[in-house]
Amino acid sequence: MIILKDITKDYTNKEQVTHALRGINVTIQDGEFVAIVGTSGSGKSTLLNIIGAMDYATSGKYMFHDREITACDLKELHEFRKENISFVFQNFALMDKYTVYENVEMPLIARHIKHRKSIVMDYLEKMGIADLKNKIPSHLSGGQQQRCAIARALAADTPVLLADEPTGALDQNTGNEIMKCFEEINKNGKTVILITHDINIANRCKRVIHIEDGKIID
Amino acid sequence: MRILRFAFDMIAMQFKKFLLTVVLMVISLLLIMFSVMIYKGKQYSYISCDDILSKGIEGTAILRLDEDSFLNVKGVKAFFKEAYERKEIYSVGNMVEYGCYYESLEELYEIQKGHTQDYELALQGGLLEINCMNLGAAFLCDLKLEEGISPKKLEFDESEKMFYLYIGAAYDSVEVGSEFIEKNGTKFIVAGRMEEQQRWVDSNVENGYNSERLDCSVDCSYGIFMVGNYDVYSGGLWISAEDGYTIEQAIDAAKEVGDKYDISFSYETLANMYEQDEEDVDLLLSYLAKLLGIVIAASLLMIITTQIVTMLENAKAYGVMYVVGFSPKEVNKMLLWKHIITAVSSLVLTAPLCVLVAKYRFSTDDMSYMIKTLLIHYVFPIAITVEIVIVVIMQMITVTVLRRFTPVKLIQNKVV
Repeated sequence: MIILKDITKDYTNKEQVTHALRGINVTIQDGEFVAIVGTSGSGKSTLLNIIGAMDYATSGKYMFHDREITACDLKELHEFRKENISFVFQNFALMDKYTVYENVEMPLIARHIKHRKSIVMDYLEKMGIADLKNKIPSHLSGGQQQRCAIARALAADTPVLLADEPTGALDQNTGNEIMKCFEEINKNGKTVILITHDINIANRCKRVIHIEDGKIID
Repeated sequence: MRILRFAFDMIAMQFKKFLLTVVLMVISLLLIMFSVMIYKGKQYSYISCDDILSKGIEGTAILRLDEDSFLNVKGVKAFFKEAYERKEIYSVGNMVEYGCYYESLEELYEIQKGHTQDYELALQGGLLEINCMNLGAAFLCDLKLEEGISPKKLEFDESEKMFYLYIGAAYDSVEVGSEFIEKNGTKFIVAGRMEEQQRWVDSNVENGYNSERLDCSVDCSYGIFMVGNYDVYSGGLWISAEDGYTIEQAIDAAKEVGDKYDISFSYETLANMYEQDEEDVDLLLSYLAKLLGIVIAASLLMIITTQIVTMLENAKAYGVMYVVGFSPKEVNKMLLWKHIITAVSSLVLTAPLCVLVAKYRFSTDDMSYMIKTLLIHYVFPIAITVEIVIVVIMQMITVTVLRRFTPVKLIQNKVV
C-alpha cells in the first residue's frame, strides 16, 4: 500500500521558488490500476518521481507498506526502488546500442540473477516481441520499443510499475495496444500507476486521480 | 565482471572520444617519460663513467698529441716511461680497439665470433676484436683477474714483438700462460683471465663525454686486451691522477715531462667534458620543462572536457542503469573501470614507444641494462603514478557531475 501524507515539493531557482506539489494526500492499494491526469506543469511527473523514489519530497510523509520512505537516505532509497518499483517512460529509455534481448536482460544483471536466458525469453514472448530479440531499438517501431521497455520493467519483477506518459509518443492504435498490456499486467496482481494528459487513456484505468497546480482535485 | 562489461560497452559507444583521451595521455606521458629519461640518464651516465675509471671522472683527463709529437716515436716512448714514474700520475697510456687477423689466435677468434661489439667487424669476418693498450693504460680501470699476473709484474723485451693478453671469462678453454707465436715471430702470452663481471671504459669516451651514452663501460666477457710496450696508435692518451693529487697537477707533471722530450699536447679533463655536456642537457631540460608544462596543462584540460562531454552524451545510459536497478556505487565503479581501461591502454601504447625513444636517445651495449636501471626503476613508476593521478581526477570529475542529476533528468537528457 502506498500512502502519501501532506506531500509538498518545492524547486528553488536562485530567489524564485516553484511549488510543484502542495499538500498531496493519496492512498493507493496493492493491485490498483491508477491514472494520474493533469495538464502540463500540473505536478503529475513530480508526484510520480516521488512515488518512484527518484526524488525527495520537501515535506510530508511517504509510506510504503508501513515503511517511511521519506526518512531513507540515498542508499536506502536505491534499495527500495530496486526491490519495489520499475519504470516505463514516454521516450522508452532503451539502451540504443543494446539489442532487445540485452535491454530486457539489464534488470536481471543488476539483481545478480543467473540463468537469465529463460526469464528474458519468457517476458519477450509475453510482450510478443521474441522474434525481435536481436534487433536494436532504432530498428523497431514505437510500439515495439515500448513493449521492449515494458518487458524490461516486468523483468525487474517488482510489485509496482510506474509509467510516465507511456503512450505519449505513440499513435492511437499503438497506444491502445500498450494499454492492453498494462491491463494484463494489472490483472496479474501488479500495482500500475501511470500518468497521462489524455483523458481517454486515463479512463481505461480503474481509478483516476486529477491533479492541477500541485493539488489533487476531487 | 558485469560492471567491467558495461565499462567496455560505454567505451565502445564513444570510441572516438576514448581514442582522443588515449592519444592525449600518450603524448603527455611520452613527454614526461622523455624528460625523466634525460634527467636520470645524465646521472646514470656520470655514475657509470665515474665508477669504471680507477680515479673517477674528477681524476681523469684526455691528452691529445700534436701531429709532430705523434710522429716523434722516440720522444713518445721516453715520455710514457718517465711520465708513468711521476708521483702525481697514476696512469698514462694509450688504447685503441680494432679488428686484426692473427693466424696463431684462431682459437680465440672461434670463441669470440658472434659476440663482437663492433657490428662492421662482425660483418667482415675473420677479424679478432682486440683492445690494444700500452702498459700505462692497463691501470685506467680496475682490472680484476680470476687468475694470472697483474700488469704491474709484466716484463717486456726490447723487440716490441711481445704482447701479453688478458682474456675475458668466455675464454675458459684457453689456459693462462699459453703462448701463441706468429710466423713473423710475434709472440702472445696469455697473462691472465678477467673475472666474469669485468667491465672496462668504453673507448669512445676518449672522443668526448656524452650523457647520451647511458653506460660508459663495456662488458669484457668476450674482450681481449693486448698489452704491449709500444708507442701510440692514436692521438688520444688517457691520464689519471695519483691519490692526493688533482688531475690538473697530473697534467702539469705530464707537461713537464713532455717539454723534456719535445712532446706537446692539448688536454681536456673529463670533469670539463661532463660540465659542458651537463650545460647542454640542462638547457634541453629547461626547454622540455616549459613544453611539458604547456602540453600537460592543455592535455589535462582536454581530457577533463572530453570526459565531461562524454558523460553528458551518455547521460541517458547512466539514467537507464539507475532505473533498472544499478546502484550509484556500481555506476561509479563502472566509471572507474572505464578510466582504468583508458589509462592502461595509454600506458601499453606508451611503453614500447618509450623504449624506442630511449634506444634512439641513448647508446649502450646492453639494452637490458637501460631497461632495468632507467626505465623500470624510474621512468615507468613515474608514468604509472601520473596515470593514477589522471584516473583519480577523471573519476572525481565524472562522479561529481553525475551526482548533480536525478535519474529522471538523465534519462530525459535534461542535463544541459
